[in-house]
Amino acid sequence: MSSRKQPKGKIRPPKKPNSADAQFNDNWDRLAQAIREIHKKNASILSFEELYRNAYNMVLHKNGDKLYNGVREVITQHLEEVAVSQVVPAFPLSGASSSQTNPNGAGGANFLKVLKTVWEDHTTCMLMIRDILMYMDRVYAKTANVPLVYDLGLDLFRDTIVRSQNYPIQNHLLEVLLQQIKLERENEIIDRTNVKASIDMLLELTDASTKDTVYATDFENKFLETSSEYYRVEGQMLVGEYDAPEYMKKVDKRLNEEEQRVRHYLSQTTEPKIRNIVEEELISKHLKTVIEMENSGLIPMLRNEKMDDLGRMYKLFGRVVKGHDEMKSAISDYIRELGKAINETVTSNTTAEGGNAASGDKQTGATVAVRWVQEVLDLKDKFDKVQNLALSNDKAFQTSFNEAFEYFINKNSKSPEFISLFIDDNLKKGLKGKTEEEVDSVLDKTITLFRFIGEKDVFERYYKQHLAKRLLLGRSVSDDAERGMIGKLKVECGYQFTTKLEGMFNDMRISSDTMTDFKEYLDKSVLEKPKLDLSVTVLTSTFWPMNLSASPRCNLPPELTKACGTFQNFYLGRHSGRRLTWQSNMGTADIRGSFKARKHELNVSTYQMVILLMFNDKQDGESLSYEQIKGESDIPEADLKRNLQSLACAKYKILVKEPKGKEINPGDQFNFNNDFTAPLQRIKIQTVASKVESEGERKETREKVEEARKHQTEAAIVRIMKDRKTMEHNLLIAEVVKQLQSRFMPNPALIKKRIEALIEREYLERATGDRRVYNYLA
Amino acid sequence: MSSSNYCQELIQDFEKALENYDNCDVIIKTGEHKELRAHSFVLRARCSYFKKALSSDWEERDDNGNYILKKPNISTEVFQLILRYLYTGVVDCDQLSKDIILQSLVAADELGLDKLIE
Repeated sequence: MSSRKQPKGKIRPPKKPNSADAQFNDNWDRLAQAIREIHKKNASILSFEELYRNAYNMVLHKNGDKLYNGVREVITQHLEEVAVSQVVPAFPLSGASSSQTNPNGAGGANFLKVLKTVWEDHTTCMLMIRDILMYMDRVYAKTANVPLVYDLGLDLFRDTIVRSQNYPIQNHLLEVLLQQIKLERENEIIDRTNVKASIDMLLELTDASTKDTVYATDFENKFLETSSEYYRVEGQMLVGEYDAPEYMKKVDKRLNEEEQRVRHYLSQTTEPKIRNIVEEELISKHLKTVIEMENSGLIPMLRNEKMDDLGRMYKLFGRVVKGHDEMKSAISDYIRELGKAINETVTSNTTAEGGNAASGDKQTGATVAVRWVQEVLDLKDKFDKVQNLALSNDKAFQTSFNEAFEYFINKNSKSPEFISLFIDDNLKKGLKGKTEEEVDSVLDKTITLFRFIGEKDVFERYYKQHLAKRLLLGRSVSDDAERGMIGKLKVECGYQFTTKLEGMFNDMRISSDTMTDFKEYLDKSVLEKPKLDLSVTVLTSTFWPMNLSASPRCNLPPELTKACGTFQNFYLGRHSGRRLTWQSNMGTADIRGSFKARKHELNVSTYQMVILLMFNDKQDGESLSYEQIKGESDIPEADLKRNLQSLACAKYKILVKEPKGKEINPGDQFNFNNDFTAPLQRIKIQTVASKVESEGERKETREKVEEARKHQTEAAIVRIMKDRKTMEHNLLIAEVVKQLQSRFMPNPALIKKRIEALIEREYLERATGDRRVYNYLA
Repeated sequence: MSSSNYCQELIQDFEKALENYDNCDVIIKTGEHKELRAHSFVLRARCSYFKKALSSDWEERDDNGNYILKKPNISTEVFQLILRYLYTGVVDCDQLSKDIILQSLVAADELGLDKLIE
């Protein structure tokens, strides 16, 4: 260059300081110019090799800092120009009025569009600038510990555009973004790509002090705040205007929308935060209101079995802490309420019909029991269905439902009896019209109710009574069904619970064998054959619920007494040392009655037979008084009344009572009804069997149960003490309760009494040092 | 075939491709205005400088669609050495003059070939 001839003249170029500086300035001018061309999108005229070499030379000659700062300046300058010429003119009409003047947010959308272009231009340019300054990045930026040029570009964009000190770009940007989201929440269609571009931009920029994204520092909190406010207002509006199902649909929709929004154009980190806000404002704050909504809340949904709505509520409310608890307790309360209503109809029925007493109500009494169980089963079915279809079989709900059932079932003190009666009803009539599977499924369901019973020992007592009647009166339709039921009970309560029941079955089987043997014995023997067919069932007294220790009073006809004697001889001959007592109150007899119209075969109870036989000796029209019958037969009064009622006041009137009426009273006169007619040849005279117990019987059962409990409690205490030898009072009580609670809930006072009784009988003693400790005495 | 054998073969094939000008699509114009030929694929893959220079933002092509790569500040001899390194990873220092070695180091630094410097 020095060899070039300078044109002479007055005006000369300024003296160059030195050649290295000149070289630098020259190189830098070209580079700065090139960057400007890049900004003008004129890069195609530029040579990569030249520009790269320029930058390379500048860095090589220790001018890296000058280059770096120069680049910063050029880019800043450019961005300032962009702010003035492109961004500021695109500002939407300002402030709060914008949404009114611009209902669709078009101004805002346009602003975002401009920003999107500006941002895209910037990043494109920065990529090219980075290319030519690759050597600077690699050699200078590293050693000088400054950001790489692309990151420098991001910082400059952040400070010059997004957080410009000169123009309110940031305000406008945030306002427009929030406004666009609000519009979308109000079902306007917005251009999501523009919103997304701005959000992505904020996500790419980093806040210098927090090292977090500008999205997080500038945008997210404002977004969450406005969302909170928005949904607070919306929540209040919605509960006022919509019913529960509609409300939940709206909330569902909102949750879905917000999730979609995040997925489409916000940061994933915002998802849990915005979800929390919607859940808090739309669910948590209105939990109770929605549950308790009149005509549409949780209870109406249950009442009308709105499974979809219930399912929605379950899912929705499960999102917040208290949601399921509130639902659970509301449903449980409802179950208790329904249960209480079922219990009340039963008691009101029994008291109403208890008024007209005696005859008919025994039947309705059983009906009440069956209806009670059926209603409870229906209720159980209903809530099983709810549990299944709407509550995803949630265990926690199941537990709380069970508690509610247990509560009201045990509120009805007759529930053990009712459940046993219900089973009785099914095992007796069940198989008529129902398949075995159907009966089995009904019984399975009944077992679920049985589980809820606290006093299982009371149930056992009733079950035994009902089973005894079924077996002895031959009312049990299927042996398989009976055994199936006992199998189920065994699964529930164990072997001990059902041994006696199984013993009853055994007695029945052995008796039928015995009868076969007895017939053979009679055939072979030289004895005079009885004039009637005697069928005897031998019951082991400990298995059966009746008091079998003594024969009830009754004057049997001589023929029968003789036959009984024959059997007794036969039986005791085979089993020496046993004692037989005759239970005439449980027998039946087939007799033939001759009436004017025709003869009928009558199937009657033993007592009825005794009564009817008395009329054999009487002339037509000759009557017997109540007192005569009582005196001659010696049948206990209650049984006598019941049997007379069956003969004179029920469907088939074999006897005519004078005066007429449903009740048997002293002084009544009875006549054999010669005019009796009936379409059937064979007639079964139903003994009016007591089904639901009368108050007196109930008391008696209760006493028996209490007595049995005393024994069981003592047995448990002895069992435990034998094992532990020494035990503290409270621990002993706890252990006894633990052992007995599968059968009944013993109360501590009862246990204490039993302990004292055992001390008295010298099974236990109080420890000498500590009165609260017991010792076992072998 | 073991992988080291494979590498050996690969290097030989690359060397052949460079020597035979098979399917070359880059014309390199060096300091002496001589022209060298190379493959854009290899250059892009091996060196980020060439990757940028041959990118759609910065590429220069002649009428036949060949890339033109001007590098006036690097001599033909040095460029040949660099190409050999890029294709085969081999630099035979023993037969080179100190001057050439020095020039090569400077060029490698400009092009960001840190491994060649090592």
